[in-house]
Amino acid sequence: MRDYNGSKVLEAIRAVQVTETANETISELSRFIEQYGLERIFLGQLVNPANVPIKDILYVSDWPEELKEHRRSQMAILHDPIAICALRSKRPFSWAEAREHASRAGRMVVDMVHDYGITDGIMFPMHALHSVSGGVSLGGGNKLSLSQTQIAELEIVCQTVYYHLENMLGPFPYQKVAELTHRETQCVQFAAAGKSNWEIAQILGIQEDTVKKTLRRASDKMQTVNRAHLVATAIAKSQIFP
Amino acid sequence: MFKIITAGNREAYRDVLDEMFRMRYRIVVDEWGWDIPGIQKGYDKDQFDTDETIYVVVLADNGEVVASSRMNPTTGPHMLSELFADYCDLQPYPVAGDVWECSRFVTDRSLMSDPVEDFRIRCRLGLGLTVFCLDNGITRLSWLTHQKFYNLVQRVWKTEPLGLPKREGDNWAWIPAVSQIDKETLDLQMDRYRDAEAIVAQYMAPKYKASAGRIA
Repeated sequence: MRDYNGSKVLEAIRAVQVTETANETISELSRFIEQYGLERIFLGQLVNPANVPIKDILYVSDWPEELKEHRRSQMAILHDPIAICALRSKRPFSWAEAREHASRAGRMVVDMVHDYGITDGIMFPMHALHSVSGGVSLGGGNKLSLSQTQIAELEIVCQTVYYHLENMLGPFPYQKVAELTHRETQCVQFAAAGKSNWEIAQILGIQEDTVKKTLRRASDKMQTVNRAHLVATAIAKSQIFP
Repeated sequence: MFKIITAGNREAYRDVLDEMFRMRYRIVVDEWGWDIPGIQKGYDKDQFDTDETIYVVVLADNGEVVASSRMNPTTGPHMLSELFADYCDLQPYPVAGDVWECSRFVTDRSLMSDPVEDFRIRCRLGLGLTVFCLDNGITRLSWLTHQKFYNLVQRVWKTEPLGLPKREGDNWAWIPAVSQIDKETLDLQMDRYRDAEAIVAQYMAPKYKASAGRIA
């Protein structure tokens, strides 16, 4: 990195920081990503659209309207392996990488955008302390081959853009990514396997009352209202195995 | 609200500093899993805790240390110059009398009773840093921040990166950065401190609504 010149990255960051509207911010990002062969931006908080109205979340995109509408009508985000990976990933990853691990429905969601000429891309997960996660997904019609340095350059600019928009357009509702304790995970995992509280107590060698309390605590953390809701949410949030 | 511990009043706060080093170990080593060479077990005091180091410490009503941070002058050896110089590939780390380095921004969340208190304590720690800087003609603070912490920093202080994000394997990245400290940021921080209840209530709202129901 000795001869590395980061002036174009710094320039882009400074340009983003002085923008005053979301459109200006996105235009700056568009200009910057062009040189990497990227054309399209999809930026947003990752929340369940069934729980939070779209107007209440940070969401900006220059994807074709028809594609956005199509994705919305299919609730595509719930199956989107790119969104699901972004919730867990601590580093940027390519769309292809997420697709590899996806279910059939998930692969269909990734491929849905191909019809619109967006065939390859890369996702930059955004995680802040005590706040809802999001991501900046950049795509285009070219096969990508980015170096580690180029990915890091895109990452720092995307991060600046994301939090600049969050500051400018926010505040947004807060949804903590719940983290269950080891004991809570065990109980929920057995509940997902159809075990009753008494059975879980026998398996784990603890009191039935403790199981009940542990599940209630897990349910509070995951903001759920009954056993089925708890199990479904725990799976969706990758707290237990499906 | 917060204590600023300098070379001049260090003796009077010997016990507080002692407790602070233990608290830092609890969080930084036990909770975050950092591997810091050359420190005693249970006591996070390293080569950047020197006679020149300034500490901001937040105490609970019962005198317990709940949060702390430290600042070192950039004119002497500091973390960016000694350990992470190669992280600063976008621009060189600043070295000047009016630039100090801030590190170990640590809060012990297990000692906090509710989210509003948690938020306020972080505000206090940030206010302590800003107040010390303004009183002592320090115009910029440099940091090596965790990627997840970066946005909290840039929300309060006007911040830009010194280098590209650096990570080991699939882990979180670290970002060296520099922030401007001015009166405007103090006003913003005071507003956030004053409005803590409203701010936290706003982002907690969906959470309370959803937890209204219970499972049997």
